[in-house]
Amino acid sequence: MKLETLLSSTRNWTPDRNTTDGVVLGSIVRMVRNLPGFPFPGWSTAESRAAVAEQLLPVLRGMQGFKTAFCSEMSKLSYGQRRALLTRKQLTPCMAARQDGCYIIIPQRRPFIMMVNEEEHLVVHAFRNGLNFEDCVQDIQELDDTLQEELNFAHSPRHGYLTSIPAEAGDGLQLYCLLHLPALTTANMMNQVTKALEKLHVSISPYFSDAQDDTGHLFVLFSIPGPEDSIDEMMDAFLDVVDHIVLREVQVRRKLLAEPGLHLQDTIARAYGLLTNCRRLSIKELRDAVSLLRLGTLMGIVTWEEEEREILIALNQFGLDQACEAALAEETGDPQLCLRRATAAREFLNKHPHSFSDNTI
Amino acid sequence: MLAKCEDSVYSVRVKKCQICGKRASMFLTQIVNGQVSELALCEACARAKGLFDPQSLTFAEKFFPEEFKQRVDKLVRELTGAESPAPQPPVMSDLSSCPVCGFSVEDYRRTGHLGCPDCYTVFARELTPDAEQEAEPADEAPAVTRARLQKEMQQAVAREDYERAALLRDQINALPPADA
Repeated sequence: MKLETLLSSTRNWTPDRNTTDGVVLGSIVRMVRNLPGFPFPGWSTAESRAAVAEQLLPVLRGMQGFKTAFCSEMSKLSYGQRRALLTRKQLTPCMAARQDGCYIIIPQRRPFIMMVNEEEHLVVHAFRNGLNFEDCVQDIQELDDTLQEELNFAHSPRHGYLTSIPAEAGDGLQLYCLLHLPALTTANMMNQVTKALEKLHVSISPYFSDAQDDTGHLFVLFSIPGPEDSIDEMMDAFLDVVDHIVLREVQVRRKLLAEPGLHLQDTIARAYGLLTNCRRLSIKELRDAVSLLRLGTLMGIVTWEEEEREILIALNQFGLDQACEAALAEETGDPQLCLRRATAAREFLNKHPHSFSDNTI
Repeated sequence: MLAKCEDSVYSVRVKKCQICGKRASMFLTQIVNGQVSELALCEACARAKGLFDPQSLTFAEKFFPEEFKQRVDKLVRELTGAESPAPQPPVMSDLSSCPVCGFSVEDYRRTGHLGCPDCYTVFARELTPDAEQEAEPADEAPAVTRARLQKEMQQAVAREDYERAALLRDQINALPPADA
């Protein structure tokens, strides 16, 4: 599979409307494994990385569903292509900085991303839409069993699976959750949330960047594995945290909506006005406006002729596609991109019949 | 410390690479105990000496300044014949560095990372201060441990990784006798 095919194929981060009010977009379980006898990638030479890849790649590419997968050495990917994969969470920031001897494998039909010589020799991400860690863990354990038939991973009865950071040795599993938190962001409450999470072995960072860039109101919540935690204990604690964040987001949405100053309605209406009338649109403006349009949809301010689930998927896809295009165009510095983005936003709204039904006017 | 000179307009004297004699573009000046050592290399020779592996250099500079300094020191000594400061005594007399990857206990203390899976055995006292050494838990019988280590040793020999095979051999020899 070519990279263009991969980037143009639909990646359904479908919000979980029934159980999380559209707050949780996706679940990811990260599994790390290392081969005995080789230095970890951060401490290895090019020869050592090549030797690790030589052992892993034939096994990974020979698995069912991986024969036609997209597979590339990192040095073959341009800066823009890496950024595009990063925006789709198909690459980790650590892997994006790698070069020779480091490979990425993404099958088209199976919910996995595999990275060879990332922070560990083998890193696998299993992902599902909405809040669904049970299926992610099951998928990844089945994959692990298949891999262990042919590979011998570094393991110690005392520490579990050995990793480059001793504190993370154990099951070698970590949980990630993609969250859409427009109300908490708009209400300037994310700092409070971040500080509270630090005490719970959970961390949160903006989706599009490691910096304080919360555009699009998208965040990644991730567990910090402890040496004694089993995956079941970690999952129970993590799901508790997710439940609390979802509850707080929904509470703040309702509170903002009920405020007499109509700030939330005004913010959503301005975002809608921007998307319907702008002639130039930066990627930051687009991310924020699409996020607020999603919020307006979830709160019944914007109504669509299509089913809500379908339109939420379409809005996500539109936002991601535009972020991808911006990442790819960053290399060329295309001056027309802002104009094309504004046109695409107007076309999206024309293509999906809707009405702005704010009863406050 | 290390600078790449792209523009020769500001350079009055063009230096030559101390290895191949071509025009140098990478310069290193090091002052140790008041003694100045200068190093000039072209990009190709610097790369061949392993100084510009983009991944390991970034990692070395960021996380292992001592390791990076040792590499540069060694290179300077090779090229200039200058005396280098006496090596520091090892922190732990018997397990100061991993025989497989060369990672030292100081590296671990500084970064919180380990160099390879064998570091867990080599730095067992550092990782779990309560234990004298990496002891297998009670649920694994010595015979099972012996069989597992022997299998790993055979695999290491098969891929001609004799350093690891020797380490595993030592671990097997350290186990209690099979008939005990």
